Amino acid sequence: MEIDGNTLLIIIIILFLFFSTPGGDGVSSQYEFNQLQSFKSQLNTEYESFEQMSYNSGFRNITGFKLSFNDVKDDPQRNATYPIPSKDYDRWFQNQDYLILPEDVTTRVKNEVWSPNMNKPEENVFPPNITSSLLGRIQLISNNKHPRIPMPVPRFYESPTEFSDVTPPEGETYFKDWPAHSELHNVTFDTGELTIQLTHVDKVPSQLGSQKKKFFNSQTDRWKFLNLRISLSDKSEHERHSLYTNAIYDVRRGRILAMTESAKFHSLFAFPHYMNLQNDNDNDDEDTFDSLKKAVKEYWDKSNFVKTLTMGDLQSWYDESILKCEYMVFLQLSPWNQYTRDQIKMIDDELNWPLGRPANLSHLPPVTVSKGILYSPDCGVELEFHDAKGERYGLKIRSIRTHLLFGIGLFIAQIYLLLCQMHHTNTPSSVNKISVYCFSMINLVDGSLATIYFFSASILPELYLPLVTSAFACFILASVFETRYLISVYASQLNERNVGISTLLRGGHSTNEDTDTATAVVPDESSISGSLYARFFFMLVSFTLLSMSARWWPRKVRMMFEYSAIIVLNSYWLPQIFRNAIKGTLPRRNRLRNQRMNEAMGVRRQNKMPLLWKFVLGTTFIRTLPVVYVFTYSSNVFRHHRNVRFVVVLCLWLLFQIAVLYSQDILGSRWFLPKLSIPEGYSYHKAMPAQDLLEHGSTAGYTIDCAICMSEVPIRVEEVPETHKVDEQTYMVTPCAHIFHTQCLENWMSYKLQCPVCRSPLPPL
Amino acid sequence: MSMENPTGLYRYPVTKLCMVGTTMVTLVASIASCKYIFIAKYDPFISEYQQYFRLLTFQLGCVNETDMALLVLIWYQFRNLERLMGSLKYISVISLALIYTTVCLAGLNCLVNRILPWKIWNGLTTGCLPLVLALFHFYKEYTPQVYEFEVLLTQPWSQKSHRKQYKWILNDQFLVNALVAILLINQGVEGIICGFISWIIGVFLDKGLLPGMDRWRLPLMQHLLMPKDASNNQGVYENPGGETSEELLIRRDDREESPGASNGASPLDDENANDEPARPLGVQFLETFRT
Amino acid sequence: MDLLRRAMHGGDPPFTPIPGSFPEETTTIHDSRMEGNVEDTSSGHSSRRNRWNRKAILITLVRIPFVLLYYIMVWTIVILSLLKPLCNISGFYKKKNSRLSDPKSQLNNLLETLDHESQRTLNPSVQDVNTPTYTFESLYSLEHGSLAPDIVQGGYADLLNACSEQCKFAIIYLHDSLLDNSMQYVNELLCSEKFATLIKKYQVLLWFSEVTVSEGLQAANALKVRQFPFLGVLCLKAEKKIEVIGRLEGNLDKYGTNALENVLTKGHNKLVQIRQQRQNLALQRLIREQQDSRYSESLRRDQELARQRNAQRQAALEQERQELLRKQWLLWRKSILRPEPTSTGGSACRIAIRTDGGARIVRKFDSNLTIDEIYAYVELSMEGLLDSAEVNNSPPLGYEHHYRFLLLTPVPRKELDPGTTIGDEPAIYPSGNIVMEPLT
Repeated sequence: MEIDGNTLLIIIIILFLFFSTPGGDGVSSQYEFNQLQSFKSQLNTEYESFEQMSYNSGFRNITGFKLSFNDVKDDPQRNATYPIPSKDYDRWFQNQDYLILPEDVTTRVKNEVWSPNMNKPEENVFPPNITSSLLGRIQLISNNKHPRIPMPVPRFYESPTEFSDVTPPEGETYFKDWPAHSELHNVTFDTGELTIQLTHVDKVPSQLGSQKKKFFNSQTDRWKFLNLRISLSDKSEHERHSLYTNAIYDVRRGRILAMTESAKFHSLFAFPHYMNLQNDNDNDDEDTFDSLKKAVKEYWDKSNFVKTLTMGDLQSWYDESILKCEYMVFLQLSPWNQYTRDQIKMIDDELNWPLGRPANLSHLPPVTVSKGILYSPDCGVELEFHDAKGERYGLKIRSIRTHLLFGIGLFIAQIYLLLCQMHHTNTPSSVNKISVYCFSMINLVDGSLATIYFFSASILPELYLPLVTSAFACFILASVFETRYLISVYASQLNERNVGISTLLRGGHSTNEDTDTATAVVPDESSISGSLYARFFFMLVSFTLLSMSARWWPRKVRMMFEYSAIIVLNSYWLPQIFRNAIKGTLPRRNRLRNQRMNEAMGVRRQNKMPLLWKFVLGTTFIRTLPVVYVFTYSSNVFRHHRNVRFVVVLCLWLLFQIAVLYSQDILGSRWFLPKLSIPEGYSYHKAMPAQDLLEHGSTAGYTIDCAICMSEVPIRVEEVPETHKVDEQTYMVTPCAHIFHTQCLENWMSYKLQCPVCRSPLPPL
Repeated sequence: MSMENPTGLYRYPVTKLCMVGTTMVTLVASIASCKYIFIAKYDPFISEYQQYFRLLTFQLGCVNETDMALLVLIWYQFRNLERLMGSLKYISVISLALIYTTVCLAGLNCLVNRILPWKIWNGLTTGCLPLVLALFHFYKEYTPQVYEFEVLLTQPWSQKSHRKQYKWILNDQFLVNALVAILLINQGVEGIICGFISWIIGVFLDKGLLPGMDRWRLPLMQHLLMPKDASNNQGVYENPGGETSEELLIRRDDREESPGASNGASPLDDENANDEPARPLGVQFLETFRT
Repeated sequence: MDLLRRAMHGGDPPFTPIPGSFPEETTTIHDSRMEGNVEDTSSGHSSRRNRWNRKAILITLVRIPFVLLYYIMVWTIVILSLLKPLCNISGFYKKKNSRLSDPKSQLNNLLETLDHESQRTLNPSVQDVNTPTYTFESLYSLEHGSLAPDIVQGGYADLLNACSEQCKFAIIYLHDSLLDNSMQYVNELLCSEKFATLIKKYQVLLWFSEVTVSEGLQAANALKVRQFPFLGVLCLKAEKKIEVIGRLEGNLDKYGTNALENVLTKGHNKLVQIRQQRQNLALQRLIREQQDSRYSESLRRDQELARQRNAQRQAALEQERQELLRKQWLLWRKSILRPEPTSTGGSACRIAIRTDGGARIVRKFDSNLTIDEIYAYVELSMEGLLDSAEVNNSPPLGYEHHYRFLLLTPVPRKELDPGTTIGDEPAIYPSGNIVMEPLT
C-alpha cells in the first residue's frame, strides 16, 4: 500500500483529532464550568452536613433523602425542600417517619433478608473477596403498591438551551409523570432473570486524570466497597433494566447494602444510616454508624471525590437520574462455615497468586446471595430474589484458561490434519477437486474465532497469555494454512469460472465459449492471494461484527440467528459433495482396478478422493466438540443454555453429510444423479476424420508432430483402414483439435489445464 | 579448519529433545499458569502442605525465562557430549543423572531441614540446573581444550614507562563455563548449593561411585532413536538398494552414471514421473508470502 | 554557521579554511601573535588561553567514557582474578590433558589401549563369525605390526602432508572410548583380513587418534563428524586439495560389508589419475630440462661463433685503420724525407740496399741523419710511395709507427738501430751494403 504525503497528512490530522479530546475535567465552555461548579458546591455542602450527622440525627439536605416515606404518604404533593418546617431533624428512628422505605419493606428487610439469627459475627464466616458474577431468578412483589417519593433533579444539570447561556438555571424539576422517552420505569414481568456482577473497589484515582491507585481502607476487615452491576430482564429479554450501584459489604455479617447514585439520589451519604437496619438493638447502632461513617469519609478523601469530578460524571449522573429509577438493594450472603478464616485467606491468596497451596479450589462453593430485596423509592417497585449463585471470578478465570488450553490443543490438531490434507493433494489437478466453499466456511469460522480471541485478550488482562496464544494458533490456522490452501484451490479452478453446471458436469467446454475465455489472461497466484486475502478479511470482519452485535439482540432473534448460523457453518461438507459430483470420481472398486492397471502399465493417474478420510472425520470431530460442549453441559463457561435436541439434530446433519461423502467414495460421486442428467463427458481419445488431419499438416503416414516432445504421433484415421491398428489411447485430441501424446499432455495437464498450443482451457481428466 | 562442533542438530536427537523440551514445558506451563509446580521450597510446601510431588517436578521446567534461555544454550553446547557418547548412552546418562540429582537433592534438602534447627537451605532450584551441572562434569572431563587466547588490557593515555597490563587467559570452553556460571549465579545461593551437589553427583557417576553408568540403558529408546536415525539416513543419503551412504555421498553429483542409484531412487521418482510436480509444503508456504 | 565559527575562533575575523589543508592552527596562532604585536598583548593571550581550555575540555570529555570503560573492565578482571582459586576447579580437568601432549606418545598409548580392549572384548566370543582374522597387535603394533610402516606417527597436519606428498589414501580412525560398542570398528573392521589387504593393496596411510585428546577433537571438528566412532577416507582431489571421499560414522551395521572397498576402488581411479598426472608432470619437467640443456649448449656454441666472427671483423677493421694510418704516416714521413745529397761530400754516404725481393737500391744519405732516415726511405720505396703525388703534412694522432722489417749489415751481421746517426755506424759509413730482412 502506498502512502503519499496527502494521505499521511490526513491520517495525522485524524489521529490528532482522535487523541486530542478535551483533557482534564472535560469543561469546554463557561456554562459547563458553572455547571460543574454548582455540582461540586452542592456535593460539598451535603458532605458538610454529612460530617455533622450522628447515628441518631436525621438527614438534612442530602439530595434524595429530604423527604421520608411518611412525608409523602401524608402529603403526596409535598416538595422536597430543606428545611421542612414540621420535620424533626435531630432524631432518627428506623421507621417510615424517617426512612424513605415503607414499613413493610423495612420489616421484610429486617426479618427476612438481614435476619437476626445471622447477626452474630463470630458464628459465621464470610469470604472477604466476593468478586463474581451471580445468576438467579427474580420475582416482582409489587409494582405500584407504595407511593412514590418525589425526587427532583436540580436544573443546573440541564444542557444550555441557547448558545449564549452562561449561568445554568436554578431550581429543580420534578418528574411527576415520567417522560415517555425514558427507559421503562415499571417492571412489567412477574419473574425474570437476574445477573449481579460484584466488583471490589480497591483502586481510586487520587487526582484528576491520574492513574488509579490502591485505595487504603483502614477497616478492611469490617467494610468493603463494592460496585454492583445488576441487570434484570424477562425470560425472552424484551424488557431489560440495568442498574449500576455502589455498595458496602459488611464482611463480618455477610450483608451488602447497595444504592444507585445519580443526580437525584446522593446515596453515598446514606450508607451509615441504612446499614443500621441490620442491627436488632440500638446498642450497636452508634458503633456501626461511626465506623461506617469513617469508612465513607476515608473513601471520600482518598478518592478526592469532588476534585476528580468531570463533566462526564455530571452528564452520566444526569442521564441516570432522568432515565432510571433509584434502587436500594439489600443482600444477604450465605456463609462459608465449612472454612476457617485461615483457609479462606489461603484460598484468596491462591486465587491472587497461585503457588499450588492446598486450597482445594475445585471444591470451592459458589458465592451465593441467599436472599435479596430490591426496592425503588422513587418508582415504588419492589422485587425480591432467592439464591443467586456464581463462581468466584478467579475460579472462573481458571476454568476459562483450562478451556482455552483445550481449544489450543484442538487448533493444533486441526493444523496437523490440514497439513496432512495439503500433503495429500499437493498437485494442481488433485487440488482442483476440492471445493473452495467448503474451505471458505471452515476458514471463516477460524478467522472470526481468531478475531474474537484478539478482542477478548484486550478485555481480559488476566487471560492475556492464553488468549493471545489461542488467537495466534487460530490465526496461523486460518490465515496462513487455510488461506494458502484456498489460494491454490482457487487458482486451480480459475478456468472453470463463468461456466454452467452442465458443462462442468460434462467435464469440458463447448468450443463457442472457448473463444472468449481462451484469450483471458489467467492471473498468477500472487494476485489471487491478494484478492482472496482481501475478501477473507472483509468476510471475517463483517461476520465477527454481526456475531458480536447478535449478543444484544432479543433472545428469540438471537437464538434463531445462532442456530441457523451454526447449522449453516456446520454444513461444510455439502459444497464438497457437490464438487465431487461435478468432478465425477469413479467408484472405489473401479478406481482400485484402474490403479492396478495403470501401475502395471507404468502410468500413474490421480484417482484418489480429494479429501483424506482422516481429515474429514478429524475436522468434523474438532468442530463439533465445542458446540456439543456448549449445548449439553449446563455449567459451561459461556453460560449458554442447554439444548440437547439441537445438538442431536446437528450431529445427525453432520453424519448425513459424511455418509454422503462416504457413499460417493464407495459408489462413485455421481450415484445419486440419474444417468440421463449426466451429459457425455469429453473424450480425449478418438479417431480423427481425414480432412481434419490434413488441416494439421499431417504427413503421408497419418502422423502428426506432438508439440510437446516434437516426435511423431501415429493417429487413427476413420477413413483409412490401415491406420486402425493404432491404439486410440496413445494420443489425445483436445477440444481445440490439437493432438499430443497421451503421456505428454497428461504431464502438462498436471501443471495447467490449458492447451499448450493455443492456451484454450482443457477439460480436466 | 573450523574448531567448532558441526552446527545444527542433525543427528543429535537427544539434544534436540532436551532443547525443545526445556522450552516447551516452560512455555506450556506459562500459558497454563501452572509454573508453580516447579517451585520446591521446603518451608511452606513440603513442611506445611506435604506436597512431596514438588520434589519430583522441580527439575522439569523453569520459572524464570532467563534460566530457560541459558539452559537451552547450554544444551546446545553439550551436543558434543551426545556426539561422544552416542544418543542412546547420552539419554541414558541424562535419565540417570536426572534420577540421581533429583533423589539426592530432595533427600539432602529434607534431611538438612529436618535435622538442623535453622532454615539455611530452604528451596531447590527450578529448571534442570542440577542435571546440567552433573553433565557439566562429563563435558569438562571428556572435552579436551583446543586452543586458548589472552585478553590484554592497558590503560589508555598513560605514560609508557608505568603502563600496566592486565592479562586474562581464556580458552575455547569459556563460553560453556560462563554460561554455567551465570546459570548458577542467576538462582542465588540455592543455585550454587544445588549446582555444587549435582556436580559432585556427576563426578561420582563418572567414577562409578554411583552405579549405573555402564549398565543402565533406557529401554525402548533404542527403537525410538535408531530407526528414526536410519530412516533419516535413507531419506537423505541412502537408498533402499542396500548401498551405503558414502557411496551416495560420492555419487550425489554424478547420479546418472551409476545404474544402482537410479534403481534405488526409482519408487520416489516414479511417483513424480507421470504425476504433477509435488510441491513440498515449505515451498507452498513460502509462496504465500511471495508477492 | 558564521556565528558558530566566530564563537569557535574567539572573535577572530572568520576566514574560510581550505578543505583538506591544515592551515588553521598555524595561521590563527600567527594572527593572534600579530595582533598581540600590533595591538594589545593581553587580549591575544587571553584568546589563546580560551582556545586551549576549550580543546582540553573537549579532550577530557572524549576521554571520560573510555577511562570509565577501562576502569570497569579492570575491576571486572580484578574481581574475576580474585575468583582464581575457583578456577582451580578447572585445573582438576587439565591434568589429564597435559599428561600426554606429544602426539607420538599419545598414539602409543592409544594403540596399547586398543590392543588390550580388543583382546578383552574378544575373549568371550571366540567362535563368533565376526572374529577377526588378526589380532590388533599383530597388525598395528609399532614395533612389529605388519601395517606399522603405514601408520603416520604425528599430528593431523603431518598426515595431511604425507597424504598429499606421497599421493596416497589416508584412513583416519577416530576412537571414542565412551561409546557402548566402542570396539566395534576395531574388531569388525580394523582387524579383518579384508581391511588389512585393502591397506596393503592401496598403500593406505593410517592415522589413529582419540576424540578425548585435543588433536583428535580438532580433526573431528574439521571433518564435521557427527557420530563416533569415525573412519574417514581422505584422498587428494586435486593438487594441494584433500577431500573426504568416504566416511563411516556411528554404528557399523548400517554399512555394507564392502563399503570401504567400494570407496577405495572408486577413489583409486581418481588417485591413479592424480598420480599419473603427477608422473606426467615430473616426466614433462625432465624432458623440458633436457631440452633446455641442449638448447643452451647450441646457443653457447652459436654465440661463440658469432663472437669470433665479430672479433675477426674487428681485427680487420683495425688493420684497415692501421693501414690507413700507416699510409698517412708514411706520406707525412715522405714529406720530411731529406732529398738525396747530390755531392759526394764528406757528409754523404752511399748505401746499397738489397731488398728481400732481390732488388737493389743504391742511394746516398746525409751522414748526419739517423738511420731512421734509411728505414723510412726503404719503407717508402717498398710501398712505392716515393713517386706518388699524395701529400700529408701532419702525422696522424696517436699512431706510432713500427717498421715491418729490419735492416742488417751482412758481414758482420748486425742489426742497425734506427736511433743512431748514420755517420756513427762504421759498417755503412761512408758506404755500405744493407740487407733488408722482413720481420715475421
